[in-house]
Amino acid sequence: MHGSELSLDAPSAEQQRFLSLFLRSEKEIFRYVAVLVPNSTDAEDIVQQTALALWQKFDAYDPSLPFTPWACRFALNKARQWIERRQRWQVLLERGVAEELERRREELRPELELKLRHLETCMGKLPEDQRALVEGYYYRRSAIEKLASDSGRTVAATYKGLQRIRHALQLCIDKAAGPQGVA
Amino acid sequence: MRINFPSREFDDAVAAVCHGLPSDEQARALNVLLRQDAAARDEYILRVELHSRLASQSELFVSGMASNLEPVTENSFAFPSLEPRRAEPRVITTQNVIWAMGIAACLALLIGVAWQLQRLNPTSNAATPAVAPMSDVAATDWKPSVTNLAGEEYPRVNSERRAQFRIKAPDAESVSVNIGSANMGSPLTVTKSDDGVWTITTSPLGIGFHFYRVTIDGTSVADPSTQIFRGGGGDWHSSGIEVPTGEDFHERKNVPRGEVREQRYFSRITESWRRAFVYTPPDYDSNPSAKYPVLYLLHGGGEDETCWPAQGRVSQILDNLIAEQNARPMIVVMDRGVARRPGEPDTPSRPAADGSRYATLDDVFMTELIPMIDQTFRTSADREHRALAGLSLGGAQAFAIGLRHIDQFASLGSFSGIGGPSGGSFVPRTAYGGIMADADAFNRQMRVLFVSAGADEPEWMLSSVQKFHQTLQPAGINHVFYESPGTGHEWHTWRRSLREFTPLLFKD
Repeated sequence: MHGSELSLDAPSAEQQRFLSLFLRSEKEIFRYVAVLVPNSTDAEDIVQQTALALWQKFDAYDPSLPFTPWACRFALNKARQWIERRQRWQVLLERGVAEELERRREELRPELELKLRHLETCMGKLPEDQRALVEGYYYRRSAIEKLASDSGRTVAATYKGLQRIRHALQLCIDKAAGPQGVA
Repeated sequence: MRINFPSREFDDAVAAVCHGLPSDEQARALNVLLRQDAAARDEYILRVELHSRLASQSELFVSGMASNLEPVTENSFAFPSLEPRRAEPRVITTQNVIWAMGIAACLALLIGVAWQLQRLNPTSNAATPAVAPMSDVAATDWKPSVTNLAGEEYPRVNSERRAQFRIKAPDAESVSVNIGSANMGSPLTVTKSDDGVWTITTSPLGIGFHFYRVTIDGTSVADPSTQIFRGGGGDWHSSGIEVPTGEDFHERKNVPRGEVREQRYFSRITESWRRAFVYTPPDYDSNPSAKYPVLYLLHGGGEDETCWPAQGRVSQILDNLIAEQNARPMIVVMDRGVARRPGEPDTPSRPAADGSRYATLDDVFMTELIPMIDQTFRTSADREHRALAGLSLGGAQAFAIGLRHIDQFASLGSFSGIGGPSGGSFVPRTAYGGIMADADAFNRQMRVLFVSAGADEPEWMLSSVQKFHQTLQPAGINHVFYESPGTGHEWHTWRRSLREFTPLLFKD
C-alpha cells in the first residue's frame, strides 16, 4: 500500500508511472463517474478520491491489463459511497436506475463517440457570448454567481443560458451526425 | 410531481441534475421516468455525456478559440443568440493546457489527501449555490415584500434583488425554501439561530412575482407571513414575493379606478356553481349608456380564476393603460379554465391544436359564460368587440377555443402557451381545422393574433413559442410576437404581455 509513502516532495519513479497512467485515464474516469453524478464539482471530488484510492492500491495493479477499467471499478465504488451519503441522489438512482444507466452507457458508447466527435466543430460555431459562458463555467470553473454578475443576469438565468447552449449544441451535433443517432 | 418524456419538465430536471441542483421532487419523478422509459434513459445519457465532455475536454476550448479565426463551412447550422454579452477574448495555448493538466494531476493527489483528512474531521457543509453568504450581501436597504401581511417585515427584498426569509420553527430539524417556478425551485438550506429562527438570504432573483413554499421537516407549507396565491407548481396555494421591477405599469397609481366584481353562475353543463371575476373600467357606473368590449382571460395550469386579478394585477394594468389612453375601456372576464362534466376526467395538461381536449370548457364558454356576461353587463356583444387570451395552458386553450369560434372572437392572445412540444407539428395550412389555410381570408377576419413568451423561459417553452411565430411568418399569417426580456415562465412575463396586448384591441 502506497498511502503512507505519499510524499509532497519530487515524485518517485512509481508515482510518475502512476501519474502517467492516471492522467491518460482521467477524462474517461470523470465521464464514467458523471453518468451517476453529473455535477462537475462533485464528479471531480469523486475522481480525486478515486485517485487517492488508486494510488493506495497501486501495488495490486497488474500492468499487463488496461488501466482504465481497473480504475473505473474504484471510481464506481467511490461514486456509490458518495451517493449513499446524499439522499436526493439515492432517490434519483435507486431501484436499479444507476445500474441501468451504467449498463446502457456502455452499450451506447460507440454511438456516443460517433455523435460527440462533432462537438468540437459545433463548439467552434458558438457565438462569442455563448462560448464565453460555456468556457467560464466548464473550463475556467468560475462560480455561477460570478458568471451571472459579470453578464448582468440572474443565477437562474445563467443556468438557463447554459441549458440552452447545451440544447443548441445537441441540435448541432444531431444535424452533423445525420440520421444515425443514439438508438 | 410527474415527469413525462419529452417535456419541459424533463429538460429542466436533467439540467438541474447536471448542475447538482435537482429538487427532491425532481429526483423522485426522474427516477420513476428513467425506470419506465428507455427512450428517456438514452436521452438522459446523451445529455449527461455532452455535459461531462464539456467539463472534461479542455481541448474543446482550445480548438474552439482557434476556429474563431477561420470561417466554419461544414454545414449551415446557426445558433440562436442569447441576450447580448461581450467577453474579453482569452488566449489559450496548448502549452498552457498541458501545464494546467500537470498541476491538476498533482492537485488530484494533494486534494485526495486533504479529502481524507476532512472526512475524519468534517467541519463544513457544502453550500447550496443559490444561497448567498452574508458577507456577499452588500445592500442593506431591505424592504418588506409588498405581498406580506400587514406589519410583517419578512420576507424582504433589497436593491440587489436578493430576498431574505425568516421562519420561526424552534423545534424543526430542517427548513428549506423553494422559490420561483418549477425550473427555479432548487431547495435552499436555511441557517438556524439560537432562538429557533431560520434565516436565508438568496442570490439575486429575477424581477417580478415569484411563488415560494417553505418545507419544514419535510412538510411543504405556505409562509404564514405572506398572502397566499393559487399556483406555484401544483394544484395548491403558495406564498408570493414581489421583487421590484423598476417598472410601474402594474403598480397602483392615482388614476381613476375600475372595479373587480365576483360573478357566480350555475353551469348546467358541469352541474356546479362557477365563479368569474369581472373587471369593469372606471367609467362603467358613471356612464350607464355606454357599452364595452370584452376580453376573456384564462389562467395557467394549476391556477384558477383568482390569479389574474391577484398576481396578474389586471385592474392596476388596465386602470393605468386606460388613464394614459393607451387602451380602450373594456370589461375583462376571468373565469376558471377547468370544466368537467360529471364523471369526466381531469382536463389534460397538454395543449391540443384542435381544441377537442377542451370541449367541455369550450361548451361552458360559448353557451353559458358569454351569454351570461352579455346579459349581465353592458357589453358590445359581437365578435369585433370580443377577445380571448390566456397564459401557458390558458394560452393554448385560448387559441384552441378561439380559432374554433372565429365567428365569436376577432382577437386572440397566447402568452407563453402555444406551439406544442418543441414546436410540435404545427402546420398553418392544416392546424386548427384549416382555419389559416387561406392566409388572406384569415387575416381579413382576425384583428389581432398575439403570441408572447419570456426570454428566460425554459428552453422547451421558449423554442416552442418562437417556432410557432417563425412558422406563422412565411405562411403569411399576420400576428404580433412579443418577447419579454429577462423574465421566465412567471407572472411578470404575463403582466407585460397583457400590457402589450390590450392596447392593440378593439380599435375601430
